Amino acid sequence: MKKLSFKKGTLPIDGMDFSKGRALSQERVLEHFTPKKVVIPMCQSIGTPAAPIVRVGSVVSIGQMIGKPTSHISAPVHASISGTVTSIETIRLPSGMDSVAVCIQNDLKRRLDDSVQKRTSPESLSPKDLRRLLLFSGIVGMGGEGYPAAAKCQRASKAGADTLYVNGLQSEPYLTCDIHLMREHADRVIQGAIALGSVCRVQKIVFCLQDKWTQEIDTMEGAIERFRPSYPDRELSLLVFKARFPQGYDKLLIKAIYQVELDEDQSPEETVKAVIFNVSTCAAFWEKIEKNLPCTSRVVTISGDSTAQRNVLVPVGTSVEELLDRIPGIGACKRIVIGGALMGVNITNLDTPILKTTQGITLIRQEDPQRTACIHCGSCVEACPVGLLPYLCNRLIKISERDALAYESIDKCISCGACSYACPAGIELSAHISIAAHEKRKEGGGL
Amino acid sequence: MIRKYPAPHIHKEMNVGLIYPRVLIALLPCAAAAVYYYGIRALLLLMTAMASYVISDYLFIQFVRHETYVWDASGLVSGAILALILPPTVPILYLVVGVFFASVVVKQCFGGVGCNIFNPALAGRAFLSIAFPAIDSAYVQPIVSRWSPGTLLYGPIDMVSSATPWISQKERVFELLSGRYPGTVGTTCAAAIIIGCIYLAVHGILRPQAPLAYLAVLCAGYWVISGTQASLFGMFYWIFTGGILFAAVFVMGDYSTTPTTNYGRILFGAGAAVLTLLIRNMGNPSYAVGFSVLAMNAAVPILDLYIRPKIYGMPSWFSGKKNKYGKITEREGEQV
Repeated sequence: MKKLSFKKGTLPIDGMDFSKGRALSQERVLEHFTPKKVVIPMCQSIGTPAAPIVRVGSVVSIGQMIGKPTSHISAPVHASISGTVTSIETIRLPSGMDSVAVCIQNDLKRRLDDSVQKRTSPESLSPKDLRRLLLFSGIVGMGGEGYPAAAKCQRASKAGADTLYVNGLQSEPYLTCDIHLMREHADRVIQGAIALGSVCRVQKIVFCLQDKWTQEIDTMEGAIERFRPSYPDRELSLLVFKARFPQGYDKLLIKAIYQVELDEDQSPEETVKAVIFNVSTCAAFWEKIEKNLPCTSRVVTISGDSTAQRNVLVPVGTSVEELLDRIPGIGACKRIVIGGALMGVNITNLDTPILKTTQGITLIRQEDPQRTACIHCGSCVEACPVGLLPYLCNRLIKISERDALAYESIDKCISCGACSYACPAGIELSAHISIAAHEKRKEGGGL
Repeated sequence: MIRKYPAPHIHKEMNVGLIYPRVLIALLPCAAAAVYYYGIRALLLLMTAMASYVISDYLFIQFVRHETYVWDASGLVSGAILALILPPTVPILYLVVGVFFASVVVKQCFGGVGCNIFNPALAGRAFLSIAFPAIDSAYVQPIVSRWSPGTLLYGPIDMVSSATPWISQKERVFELLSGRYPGTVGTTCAAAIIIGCIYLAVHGILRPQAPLAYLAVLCAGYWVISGTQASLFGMFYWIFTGGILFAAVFVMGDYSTTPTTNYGRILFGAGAAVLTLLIRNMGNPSYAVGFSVLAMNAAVPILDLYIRPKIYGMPSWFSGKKNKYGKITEREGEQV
């Protein structure tokens, strides 16, 4: 089978064991993790935050809507546990944004909302029904992007997209929640993807996987074969990609498939008629179709260089502290990272809640290497997936040479961290360049 | 947990503290060959060069730049390379002057490790060749008188009159590989260099583009120049002598003085090879390798600026000069 890839990027070699998830089969999945309380932020997606529709003292049940969407690009928020609303306060999210959040005290009764009930014939729903379901499911891009799924589907059908790509290329080291879903719940992922396809009016559905997950490729191939007869009007297929970081980034995915490079203002739907959804998003949509259960929990990977790997089904809004307290076998670690080890955010406040977009928690024991002078070795140039010269950009930022920096297309930086990872001198290239790139994008947008 | 760390949170195992010691290890076979051929004299040259290089680095950083000296083995590497590319008869005083030039003028004055434009060892060698031209005509037979203490003071005896040792050799495979002919201290033994090269390549430190381009263009040049007299042995003779192999591995493998992109490295190697061919055929053959590499060193900043990887979402001819933001600032300037 032909393997697709973009050029450059970090190869899975020394130090970073990309295939650590091989021990996945032994890991336990805690299906019913019940936190004592949850803090559910209203702002979990791109666009406007939802508006809370509950008051302090209200009694809520699992799946009940507690925040309603406020605009076209916005997703509703649902209660993930049953209990009483204790307060509505403003908290700070790992991304640095402030958001209104609803705190719910758990009554440990696991009461489901009245609307949550098993559907008898989920396959017979019309695209119109599916669209309505998606709109009220609160599903957002669960690969970390956070674009409301309903808005994305509408954009896709408006642009006349013809292919739906299911992004299962979890290229970050240690993170395996999508891989886990594909192995254990391949049916759900495929049915969810087919349903999303009918919402987007797309016939072709392609599943994307990395070549190192051979077992998962077999599972998915088998499942696709099984579903082909029941959906004769759909073209289901599988694409295998080379294991390489950051392959999961949607622009690089499009480049690997179509050899087309997207500008910042171009969307894949309009340019190449392709729409990309994450594996978790598809699985969550099938949950909604089958049980009418909105997006209230997600699979979160807890792993790192100091602990064993675990995938846990966690209600949205659980605090990191409670999650880590209740999981046995977490060793001492130097820092706690929300997201993957390469692109994640280091948090110091353990009250931070798990969001719909949180793929995992990575616990890092490894210290940063000693920082020395740049030796001009070119490792960062080889690693950069967008073709920047990180060492030069960093030097220009250091001496605040703004005129020269204007010529380095620094705003193309995707903050993937491959340059800092590869740097033998331990220079924080990615951090410096991301900040400068952000500033430049702001300036560019203003002009 | 008070400090917030920026992403990424894991790093490659390769770091500066590992790279330079590994280059030193790769130089060991060459140093061993040098000691075998020239005895205590080679040992003395190596030790003096390495020690004086580190001392002059330390003194400059501590007392002229007023910064704290951070230890890395780059000084040892440059010192050892400088000692290995000199003739064994070079007086110790000259060697120390050359080391001082390489360390202070070529490296530290440009900003220290990673900022130097010219390869310190080669620049030091070139400086010595120009300042003291006599050293270049004083090559000796190896192995003779290697352990007599007199060589420590006056240098080895039994001088060969030839100024260009790479020409005066008979065509014999064993001598070519072992390097048992008059020449510089440590660059004649091709086998030792190849062992070092393999070590560096296995550990991923040597970037092969520049050395391969250099050797390939030199071989092609040999077939063109020799015409009908060309032979396979002649080709190996051509690239195994005169320090070409040593320069290809240890000088073109140096990070600071070679370009950072693959195409830049290929151009660097090819350019150096063309210059080497020119100087070998029309100029002084004993300067061929050193001066051609130094000349290409000077071109590295330009190669770095103009030979770039393709930027995502930009046309392929785009080299960083015509940016959409650049246009906006120009327009803004007109309005003001």
